[in-house]
Amino acid sequence: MAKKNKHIDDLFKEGLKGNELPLDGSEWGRLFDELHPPKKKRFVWWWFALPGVLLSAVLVFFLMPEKTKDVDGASTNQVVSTQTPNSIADNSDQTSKSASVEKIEEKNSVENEVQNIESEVEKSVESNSGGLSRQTSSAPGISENNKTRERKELEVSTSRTPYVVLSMSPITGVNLSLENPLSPMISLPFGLGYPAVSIDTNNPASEYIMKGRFISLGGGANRWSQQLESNDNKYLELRGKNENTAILPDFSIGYQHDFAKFRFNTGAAFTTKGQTNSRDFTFEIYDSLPYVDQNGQRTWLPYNYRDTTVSGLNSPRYQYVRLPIGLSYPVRLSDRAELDLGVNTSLQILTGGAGFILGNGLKPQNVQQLGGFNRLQVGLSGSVGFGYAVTRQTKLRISATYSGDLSDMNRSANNSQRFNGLGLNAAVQFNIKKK
Amino acid sequence: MGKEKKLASEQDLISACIDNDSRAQKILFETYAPKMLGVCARYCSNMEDAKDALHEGFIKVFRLIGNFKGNSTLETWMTRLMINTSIDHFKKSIKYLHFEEHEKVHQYSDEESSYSLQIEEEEQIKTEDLYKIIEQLPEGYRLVFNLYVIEGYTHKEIAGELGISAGTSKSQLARARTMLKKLVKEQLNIG
Repeated sequence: MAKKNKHIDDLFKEGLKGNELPLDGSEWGRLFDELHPPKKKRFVWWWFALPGVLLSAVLVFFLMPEKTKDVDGASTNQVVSTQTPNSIADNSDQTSKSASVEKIEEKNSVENEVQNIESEVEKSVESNSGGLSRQTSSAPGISENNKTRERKELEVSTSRTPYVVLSMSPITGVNLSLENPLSPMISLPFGLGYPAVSIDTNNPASEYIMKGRFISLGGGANRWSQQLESNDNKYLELRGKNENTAILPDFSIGYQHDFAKFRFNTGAAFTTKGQTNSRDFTFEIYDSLPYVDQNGQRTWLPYNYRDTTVSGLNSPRYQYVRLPIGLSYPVRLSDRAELDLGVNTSLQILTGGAGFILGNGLKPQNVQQLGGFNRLQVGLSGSVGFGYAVTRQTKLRISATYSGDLSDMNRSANNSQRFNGLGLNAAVQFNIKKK
Repeated sequence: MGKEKKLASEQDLISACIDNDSRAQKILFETYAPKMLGVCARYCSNMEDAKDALHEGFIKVFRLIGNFKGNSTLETWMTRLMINTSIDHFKKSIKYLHFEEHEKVHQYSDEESSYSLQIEEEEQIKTEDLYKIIEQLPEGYRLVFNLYVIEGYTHKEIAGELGISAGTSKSQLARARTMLKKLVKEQLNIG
């Protein structure tokens, strides 16, 4: 056979220049992921901040040490003193007795205290000498010096005392007091605030009913996330990219019953769960090139949705009636305010649904045509709530709740689905038993 | 449901890529990726490195495509990016490029004819065999050989690209040719 001379340069130039090499299907997917990284689901601090800030603001507003209130509607200082009959007889300052009330918050409590002190003194004097009279500082015959000194002893301070208190707000910064905008509270995240409020849990004379039997009407919203599990990782990945968290409403009627130190809660809630479909969801990113094996055999991978963009799919929504049963521990903050921490379990009844998900083969599928739903589910939640008595028998309660499904909402051959969510609710509670 | 968008010309494709349109990016990738992988494979010592270089190269393509002025074809512009990326890629993978700066160039300058091979006219040499052979070259040899022989760079341009002298480029080319001839003879039984 004839031979020819060929320069080594030409051999490689002709053989390699412009040559193409096959790619497997993963290259474009890898590149797409880097060019269009999925938006990171940022930790939503504001979601936690909102109830925290609300609670902090309400706490600051209502629980600041109050200025001395005017028992008679005029003076700002309360002075309560008693004198023994002996001191009256001797007309001497040394024998006078006084009793004080350290803190007077309400007119009724002051009056009660005065009556208690007077009756105690009366009993004491009667037991010692019998038939003695009593006199208050306002009675004639007491010297001005004596009155002044007693006033100093008994005066309820009107100055604002800086207290350190646990701050509910996760936001570092300054929270202005609604009562006194010039008195800011500087708070650290879930840390300490200064100055804040003093909490008086011992207030037996309150006219506001905080414990007992209440019925409530409430509403709010939950931010739902789905826990999707599947044996098919690609399906899981794609559905996870398409479906995002959703904030959906929640309405409830409730019943509260206090016993001993605990509080029993039950009722019914009408809850919508669901997810938010992406406005435009493109499948073209995956495996747009065939997989080529060593023998040059081309294989199209299962999720090869070339040039497919799904737009405008109605998001899936699931309606539930929930029957919660819970136990909480209330802490009295003042005569009008309380905080409670609780756990709830609830029976959840799936009553209906609408919208679309990406079903088998990632084809849009109406949830009403899906199988594998569990009509009955069990959920568990934890809550922190703040109650404030707006009238004698009516409370306003604001609560933050984190809840999750203990059992699957949907289970099919390849995947299962649950929801968990963080909620913020407000409810008006009416006392149903007269004090 | 399905959304189809027609991309009529290469200019439309470029405009859509500038707008970060993933569909246009995919079309561009599918059109040019096999050829660009062929480029990267010539500069890298194995296919894994070539794919990494291709990946990095396309990232650059899509990020810099707004700078494409149309002075050359899109393929030429992309090839240039791939070459630069391949060079950068293996510059990162080794601590330094070893070039023999003190090589006596004149030893090789008059021996062009000695780089010829005797090949039977009907003989077809497989491309994959050529890749295997070129992969065996030391990095410096391979770089200079590719740039000079296949891309058509001058020694001055290569020197500027790699930060070496033109003389070194010449000596590297001569050594690369010698080694390639030897490898072809040994492994393909040619010449």
